[in-house]
Amino acid sequence: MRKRLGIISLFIILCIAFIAIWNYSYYQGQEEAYIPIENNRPIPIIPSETGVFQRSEFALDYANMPVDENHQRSMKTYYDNRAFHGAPPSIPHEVTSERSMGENTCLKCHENGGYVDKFEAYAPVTPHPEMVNCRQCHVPQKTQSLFKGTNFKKGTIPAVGINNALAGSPPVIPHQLQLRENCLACHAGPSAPKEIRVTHPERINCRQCHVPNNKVTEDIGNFIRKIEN
Amino acid sequence: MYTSTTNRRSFIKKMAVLSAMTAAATMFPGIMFAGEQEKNLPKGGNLDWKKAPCRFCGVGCGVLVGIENGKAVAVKGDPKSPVNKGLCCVKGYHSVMAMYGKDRLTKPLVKKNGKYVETSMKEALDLIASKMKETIKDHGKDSVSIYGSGQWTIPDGYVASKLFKGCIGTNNVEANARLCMASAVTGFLTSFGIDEPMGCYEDIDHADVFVLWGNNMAEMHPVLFSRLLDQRLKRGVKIIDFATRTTRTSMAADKSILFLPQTDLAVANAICYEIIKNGWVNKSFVEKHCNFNKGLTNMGYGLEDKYKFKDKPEKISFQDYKKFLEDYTPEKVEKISGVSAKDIKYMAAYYGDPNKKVMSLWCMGPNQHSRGTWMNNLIYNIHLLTGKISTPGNSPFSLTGQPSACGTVREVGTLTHKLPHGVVMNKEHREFAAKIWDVPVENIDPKPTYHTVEMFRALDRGDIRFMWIQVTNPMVTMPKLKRYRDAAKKEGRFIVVSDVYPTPTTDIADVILPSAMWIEREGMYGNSERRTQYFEQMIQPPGEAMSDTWQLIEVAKRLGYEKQFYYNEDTHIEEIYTEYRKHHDNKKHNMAPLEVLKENPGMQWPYVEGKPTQWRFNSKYDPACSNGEDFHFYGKKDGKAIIWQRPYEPAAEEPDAEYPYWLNTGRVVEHWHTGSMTRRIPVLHKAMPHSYVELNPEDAKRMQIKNGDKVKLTTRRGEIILPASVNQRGVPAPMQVFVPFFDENMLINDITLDSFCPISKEPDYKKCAVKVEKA
Amino acid sequence: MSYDKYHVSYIDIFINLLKIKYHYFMPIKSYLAHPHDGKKEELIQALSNLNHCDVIPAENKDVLVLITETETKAEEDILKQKLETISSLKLLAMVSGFNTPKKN
Repeated sequence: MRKRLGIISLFIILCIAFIAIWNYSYYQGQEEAYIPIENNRPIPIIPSETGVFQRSEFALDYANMPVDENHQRSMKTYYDNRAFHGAPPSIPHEVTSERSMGENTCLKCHENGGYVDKFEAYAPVTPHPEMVNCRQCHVPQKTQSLFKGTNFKKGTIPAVGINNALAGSPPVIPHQLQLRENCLACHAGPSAPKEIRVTHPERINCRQCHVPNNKVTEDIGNFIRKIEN
Repeated sequence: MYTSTTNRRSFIKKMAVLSAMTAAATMFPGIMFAGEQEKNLPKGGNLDWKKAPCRFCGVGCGVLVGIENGKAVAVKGDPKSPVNKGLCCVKGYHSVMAMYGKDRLTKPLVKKNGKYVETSMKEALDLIASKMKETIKDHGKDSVSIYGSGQWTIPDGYVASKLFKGCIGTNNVEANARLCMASAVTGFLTSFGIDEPMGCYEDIDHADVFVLWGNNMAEMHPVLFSRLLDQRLKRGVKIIDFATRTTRTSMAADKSILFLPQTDLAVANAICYEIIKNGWVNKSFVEKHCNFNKGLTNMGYGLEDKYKFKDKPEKISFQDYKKFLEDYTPEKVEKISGVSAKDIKYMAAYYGDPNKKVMSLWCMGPNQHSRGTWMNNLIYNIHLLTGKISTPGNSPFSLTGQPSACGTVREVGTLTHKLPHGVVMNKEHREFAAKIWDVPVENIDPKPTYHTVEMFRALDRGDIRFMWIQVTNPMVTMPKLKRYRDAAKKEGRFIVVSDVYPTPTTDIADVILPSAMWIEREGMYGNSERRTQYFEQMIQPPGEAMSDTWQLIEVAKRLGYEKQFYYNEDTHIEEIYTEYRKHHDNKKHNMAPLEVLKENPGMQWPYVEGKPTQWRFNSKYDPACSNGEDFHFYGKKDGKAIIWQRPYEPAAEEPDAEYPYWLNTGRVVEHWHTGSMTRRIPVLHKAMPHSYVELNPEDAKRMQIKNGDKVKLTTRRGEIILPASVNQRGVPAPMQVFVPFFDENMLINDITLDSFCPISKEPDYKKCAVKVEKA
Repeated sequence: MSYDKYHVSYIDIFINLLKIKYHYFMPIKSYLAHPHDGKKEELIQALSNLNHCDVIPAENKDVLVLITETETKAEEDILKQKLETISSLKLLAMVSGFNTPKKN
């Protein structure tokens, strides 16, 4: 009887030891499989691709559109209307309804553009017509006076014609792409500032040749092959 | 085609290089000129982008700030932020311009013989410390006070609380969030026993119906509203605007329902009546997870000095509650509220439909309400009765107004009764805080002192002699402002104001300290969805401007608290945050460590085992749930949330024959609070140069008032003249007017009433009686 | 005309160049400079020290691209003389030049 108890308890001990070791090795195994994730980059460096092909159905129309030189915008007026390069433009005209958040009140002209007699200008086309609370970001100018003066200085504005790596290579995109992913909205048609109007809107896939520059958010620097170990 | 001679030249030069290289390549196949390609690549305007939470509202958008040559020159939305996903509003986009106003305060100013004299920071801080010592000696520790803000960073509020509550030993710590979030806090505490929303912004992506309770989101929380609009485009969700005034939100909503001021109490009860009557109650949820309570009624409105109120909760049965609701049938409520029974039933049907996920959103409407706590309770009632809570898309969501009203005021606890963890009345909580603060527990006074309105009344009476005001502008925002402005100017009062620009509040100061704002220093904010966000110092503050945190530390050291304020100037923000985290070291509130905040676009608390908690009280998402059920409302001892019996009661001052109109006040999308920052942003000032009074077109016609005409508003507190706005931004209902409060040249708060919710002590800025005349 | 145009073809580029050439006078020239054996570094140094000179050395061959950019013809001539005195320079071959009206 005692012998039998001894054998049973031996087996029980063996069994417990087995479970303990098995568990230990199981967790060990799991840890092996765990690959620590590298530190997150707090700021993304690759801009979104959404919107590149928007308005591309009008590409051929754009290509065939004559240029109305008397009513075209220039980069100067383009930047005058913005607090800094990349800021949402102010509304340089009266608005139909203060109570509307925008939506069709704005989109009826700014979704597809077109000549407006009243302002003797072509309505600029919005690159993000799906965002309908226009007045969230775009405000009119009801006065030209200031509450108090400001020392804010506009940062450097990217110039036109100096954005190619090699002479003759397609210029890189010198501006931020966020909310401006739709190239044709601003770079084609009669409302596009004359300096940046594209000569080949029919090519559609703009970012096949024109890439954002190396510094959309931070300078990535040049590729250097890292040699491990 | 070429913009300048320089460009032509550089172009020719490139051509010259290219032709030489081409020639070389024909002579030496395989020749390489490295370094040339990248040399010509433009550097994207040389901007360095750094991440921060937005300086303005409580949504807490992630922004990227473009820095060029040591100046902030551009802003864009952070596409990685789950809050705004790359979008900002007009204030956010232009926010960096708020740092560059010409009249920025750069040197301390001390009032000597009625004139402000420039002095050094050291002298100014010496003066403040000696004045504090003197005041405490002459009038006792409860004669000094600090009045801060929901725009305080977490370290600002933390050192303020530690200095005043822990070291000096007075509970005279308040913040302007009392004027905007206090009812939300008491609402949470009475219904759930623990503060802040159970859900998160991601609820927006799951909900089918949105009910906005007195919340003009299109202007006040535009980025979140755009997320609603986006969902409507993608999934066809319904947006219902339930308000007293027709706004941009009403125009954008699928349905706009108008109610008479204060009657939202009745309508919310009517919705509960309908839910019970139609059998839409989620019986198993209510049985398992809810209790029914009633409290005191006819509480008054806090209009008299030293007004005190303490609620006496009493358990009731479901039957009692059901019986109480019989006074609130849609037909009866229609008569009080002006909302048709049909519309009440329409809203109730959405809440009651088990297949619809409903999100309720509110901010100042139910909070700045003479029954604010009740209103918050009533919205929770609807969600608790139907069990539509703490699950993705089913969410009663209390929005915040300020960037760190949650992070600093509510979580750090810069209110008179609060400690970082718990309340001063609780012995254990005091002991816990005293240990971390390294102060004797007797230092922490177990009795709360003054809430904001009462604090300014105490200043008037002379009970408070010294007040330090940081990051807020009470001389524009206090209701019944004239009394408190006169109080501050009284003899024997010493006021210190830390700000970035001259304001009506610096006008009453004895010492003005120039502050470093936002990204001119390091700090953290906490937004509406329990997300704590870190920002680094990106630019140098102007002149001698110093962060509010360091101002407080310098004074604390001068008062002899070097031991508690041991922080190192270079690393103090990290040290303070690490110390602060100890107060919340539990599963219900754990905060993410600083490294995690630095790497991420903010992190939500409770942060447990390396994961944020999106939906609290739901055992699927929240590791603090421990009752083995699907839901656990662990804020209350028995784990059950409370459905409150709260009746409709009229407002403190309702229109009568002499003052026949309702006066409502609020904000506009262009300006942040009192405009001290946004009015210095040219784009925003030009868009909204001054305040106005909105009239209903019918009323305007009757009084022959046209747009822009001068209108005189008179209340029992005084009068003010404003230009009329008819049929423009907003349209108030007949016999109501609305005035934005951002304009320091047209101080609407001179005539508002300082009535408040007796439980939360938050003033009702939305309702008082006014006479309207053509001036 | 848009700035996008000139990557279309080299013909375009040269047409543009011609236009520029006859409108603006600014002597910009590019050369291939060949150093004496083993004196490439010396030559780079010497050229880099001169004003109005940009040097782009080839990485793997004994040749470098030299760009001179001067304001006037007189300045250009002085530079020319200086270049000729450099001892490490074996051969200077002009590749392209804009506005060098020597005959006038």
